[in-house]
Amino acid sequence: MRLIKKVLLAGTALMSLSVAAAAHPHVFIDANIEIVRSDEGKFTELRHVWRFDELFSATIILDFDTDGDDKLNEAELKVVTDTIHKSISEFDFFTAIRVGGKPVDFYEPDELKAYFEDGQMIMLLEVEPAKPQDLSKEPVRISISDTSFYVAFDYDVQNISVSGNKNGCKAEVVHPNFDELYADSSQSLTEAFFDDPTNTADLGDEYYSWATIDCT
Amino acid sequence: MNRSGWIFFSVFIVSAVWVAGEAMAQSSLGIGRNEQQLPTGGLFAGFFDWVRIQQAAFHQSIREILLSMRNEGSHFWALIWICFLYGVFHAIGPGHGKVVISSYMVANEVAVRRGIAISMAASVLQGLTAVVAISFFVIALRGSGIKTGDMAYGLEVASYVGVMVVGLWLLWRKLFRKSHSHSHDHGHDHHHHDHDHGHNHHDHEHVGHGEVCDHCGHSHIPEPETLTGKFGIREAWTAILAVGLRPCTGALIVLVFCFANGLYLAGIASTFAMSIGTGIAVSGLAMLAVTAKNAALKISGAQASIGWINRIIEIAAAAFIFLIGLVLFVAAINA
Repeated sequence: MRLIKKVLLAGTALMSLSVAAAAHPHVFIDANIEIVRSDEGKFTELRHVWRFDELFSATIILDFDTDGDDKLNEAELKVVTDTIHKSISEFDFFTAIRVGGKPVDFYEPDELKAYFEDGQMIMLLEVEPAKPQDLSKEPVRISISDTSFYVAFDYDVQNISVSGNKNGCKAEVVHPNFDELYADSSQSLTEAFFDDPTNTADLGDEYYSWATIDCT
Repeated sequence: MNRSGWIFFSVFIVSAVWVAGEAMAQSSLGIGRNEQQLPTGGLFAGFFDWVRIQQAAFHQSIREILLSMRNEGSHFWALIWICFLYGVFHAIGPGHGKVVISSYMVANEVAVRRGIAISMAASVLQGLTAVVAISFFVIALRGSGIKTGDMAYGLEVASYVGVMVVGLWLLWRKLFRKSHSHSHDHGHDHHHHDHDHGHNHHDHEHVGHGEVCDHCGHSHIPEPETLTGKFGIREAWTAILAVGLRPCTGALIVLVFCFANGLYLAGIASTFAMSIGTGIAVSGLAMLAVTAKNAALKISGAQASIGWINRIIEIAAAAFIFLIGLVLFVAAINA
């Protein structure tokens, strides 16, 4: 395998001269996230509401409409959400949570819920941190992102909300600055591809949008 | 392609789609097919980050126009125009089509007009594949449990295998060809001989005529046809088919949305607008590659161009095609 990898890497070096390519998204999701705080101000739950774009929603209907009525009933929707659940579980549910720079573990969410509205699929996902997080000392940073770049998540400050104890919480969203990322990205991306041809390699935080919710 | 060629081709496609279905096409979301990407790297990595952002913007524009078409029924030409531009743009970004086609032209002596025809044919075939695949899916496969992503995956894998075959075949031909001098002498007769037997890819395994063989010293000698012969046209078609088999995911998504909303003409027209845009861009890139090759030959001297430098460039290009097919194939089946 080592030799094969070397040969492939050599080939890549050759290829890079004439061609390079980047995965680009085919699914667009407008995301809303809600941070749920307990009365004591602990961060206990993260609620996602994902609105899929109309184009991809049409593909979902075509793929999962077993009875051919151009609509998805409860049973068909369950197949959709189960499929997504299973698949995105390998991508940490597209969710990264950090408090004080440290990743926060969360339980695997229960069943996802989905429904259609104006030709768009809306999906609900609830993520519960393994331990309630104290937000009084350090802000929580959250990113919803697909490291394979198949799905593009769109969210900004207005899509971030806090419920429960909202005392003194401020939200901010920082988007990646690709201009700054250009300089040193090439090598790592090529290596990343061969370490993980499915392109699931994490490129680093700076490639994704991060919401910072500061309740200190 | 002759009759047995078509039968082989059909069986190949059907089994590729079947294997793909078994293998469970995967994207991160579990629905739909993420296009397998050639790795990003080298000097242009930053440029392709930029391309990715532009493509996302294109997707958004197309989405907005399609929504207003669904709701108000207008904006047909705006859609065609934006899809055409998207096609041009898409060819600059990811995708193996342009690389394979460019390399193919470097590996062979292809006249400019012919090169443009090959580029356009491959791109238009990509559009046609998308339209036929989605139509077939809507008519025959919906509700069957097979997903559009599985179908796209099958076509993708078939395309990569096709690219490998084209690369290997070119490589074989380049490696065992001694020089151009015999090319025009015996080609035709031999070609007809092969054709009668209905062989497709294995023609070259026939032991060559004695007078050719004297120089080679191998028992297995490829017929030294050049691209100007009929054989070349058949070979070009194999390359076109290999590339054209893989529909672009963007086109598939647009088509599904259009068909679901009764916008049949808009869906088909915008797919071909993308194809034509891509074809124009690929033609340009392929011509650039050929010009670069010719420049390299010129710098190295006219004498050398007949000899080993030309051969090395051609062999490298052929190996490159095989490598692209291999890398994408391995990545696709591992996904």
